[in-house]
Amino acid sequence: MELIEVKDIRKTYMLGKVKVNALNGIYASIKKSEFVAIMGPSGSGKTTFLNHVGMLDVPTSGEIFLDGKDVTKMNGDERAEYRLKHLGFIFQFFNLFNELTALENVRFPMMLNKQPDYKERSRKLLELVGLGDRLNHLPSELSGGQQQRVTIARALANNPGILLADEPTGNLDTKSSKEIIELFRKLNLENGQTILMVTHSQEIGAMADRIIYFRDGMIEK
Amino acid sequence: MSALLFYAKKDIEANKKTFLFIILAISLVNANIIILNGTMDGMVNEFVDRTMESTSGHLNVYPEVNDRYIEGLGIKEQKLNKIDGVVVFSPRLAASGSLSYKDISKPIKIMALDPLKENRVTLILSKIDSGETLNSDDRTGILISYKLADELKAKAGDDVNLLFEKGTLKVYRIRGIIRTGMEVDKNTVIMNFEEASEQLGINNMASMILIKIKDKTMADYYKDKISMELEVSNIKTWKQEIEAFVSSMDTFKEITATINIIGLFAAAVLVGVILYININHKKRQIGIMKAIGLKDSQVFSVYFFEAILLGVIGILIGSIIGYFGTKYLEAHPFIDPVTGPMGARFGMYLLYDSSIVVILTVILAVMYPAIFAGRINIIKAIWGE
Repeated sequence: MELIEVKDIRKTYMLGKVKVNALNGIYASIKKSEFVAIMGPSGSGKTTFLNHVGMLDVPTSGEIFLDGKDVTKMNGDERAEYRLKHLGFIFQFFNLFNELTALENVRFPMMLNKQPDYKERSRKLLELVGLGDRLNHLPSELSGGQQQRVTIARALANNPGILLADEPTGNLDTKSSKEIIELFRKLNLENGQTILMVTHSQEIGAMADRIIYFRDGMIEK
Repeated sequence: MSALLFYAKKDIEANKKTFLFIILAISLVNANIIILNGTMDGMVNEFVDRTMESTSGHLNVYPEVNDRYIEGLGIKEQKLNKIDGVVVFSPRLAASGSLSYKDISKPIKIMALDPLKENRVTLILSKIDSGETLNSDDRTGILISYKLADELKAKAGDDVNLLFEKGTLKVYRIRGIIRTGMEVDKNTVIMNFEEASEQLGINNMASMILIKIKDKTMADYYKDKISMELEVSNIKTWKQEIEAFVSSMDTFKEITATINIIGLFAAAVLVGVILYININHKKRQIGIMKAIGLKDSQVFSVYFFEAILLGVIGILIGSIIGYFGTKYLEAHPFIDPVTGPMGARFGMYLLYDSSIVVILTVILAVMYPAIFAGRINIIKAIWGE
């Protein structure tokens, strides 16, 4: 079953006076529980594509179906609600809330989603990513790898069907990168989460079920 | 809601130093409003009280236009006695003359009254600076204002020559010197009503009748009633009597209001700018908030709640400062050489009023930064643009 279906999406924006075609008619289908890596040179449209699937951006034209729903038709509030309940984001620069502890970072989306068991669940998620002993540490007190694990735990907070990761290992050393990808694989296998991961690393990309290559705003293969 | 409040609280805790400036600004503005208005109201009330204590009843009956005296005083007094709600009244006579002591002579205003009746309406006879007050049957003694005493270099116990406007001259003994903090202090001689009537050659007449009623808030009702019963038209309520003063105080109130508005505007700008700068430095955080599922309105709410929390803390601190500041000025009033002590007056309404005004100012200040935060583009924010 296709969980993500993208039909002819195009994204054009102005860079000063220059018109830039970031996406040039993308068609893609991703099945439920698939672990897909998105690769390609810088500026090829990988992150733009991920942002569109993640409903962070709106395409100039085309349709994006998530679990059968055309999300391009949703308004801002509906998109925010969908992101909260069904999507999890992992960014290259960790992007944690610096004023919240690891536990609070994970709890916040659950509180927004009014999960009654958020206290217990947030602790379990941090234990799952191997940070059971770092619950009350602020992001500034954690290493890059540990911060990225908190980001993953936060992305899993509301048990989303889709995890979107934009170069999650881009700022990590080889050991931490390997641990993170193994965690992704574990989540994918045990929870059946669909994972879309942008990466520059051929080695990391090879750990996914499938690789989609981007070039010049189009899917190359 | 609880999640948004949770984040707002955490953000404040993590940015204590920045937010201390906001709290300080709000506290000072709040305290300033309380103290300034407390002082202003205290002075107004003080003046009104003094006016009521010495120169006015709840209702004052004056002679008809073009008349100098109210005629048929006896009948009018009988009628007043029969009106339910009229507690007491005191007729007064006003005249002019001159007072001489040794080789100094000064023009004076004569205020003649019946001490027994007057003491039940005003406190003027108790405002004795030195000497003693006037007894009800004392027709040979007078009270003079302290300024007049200074000019004549006379004191209580001295004998002075009083020349009435009709030309009669008589010696009186100064029983006491009065100080009221009012116009009366200038050049007034207070004397017995009957004695003045005799010297002025009038009978059964008064220049005004001061009336005290059961409930001063019903002055307008009794004004009409007394006007009808006594068949007089020139009656003023206590509010009308102090109107001239109050209208002049309105100018001061406008000045106070202007100072308040400038202070509030400055605080609003300061709070708004600090919040805006803070939000501008947190674009990435806002981007993450939106990415994980906060709606624009929820992002707005986070910063709105922050401002309200800061506002509440600022108001609490400002109220404490304002309370003690006003209480201090109440206990240590300004001393005016003419009117005497003029102190602040604390009332709970000062706290309520200032809190409402300040919280509205905070709301106004946060609107633009919070709307700005809500409208930040997610992609640009995440990349810190």
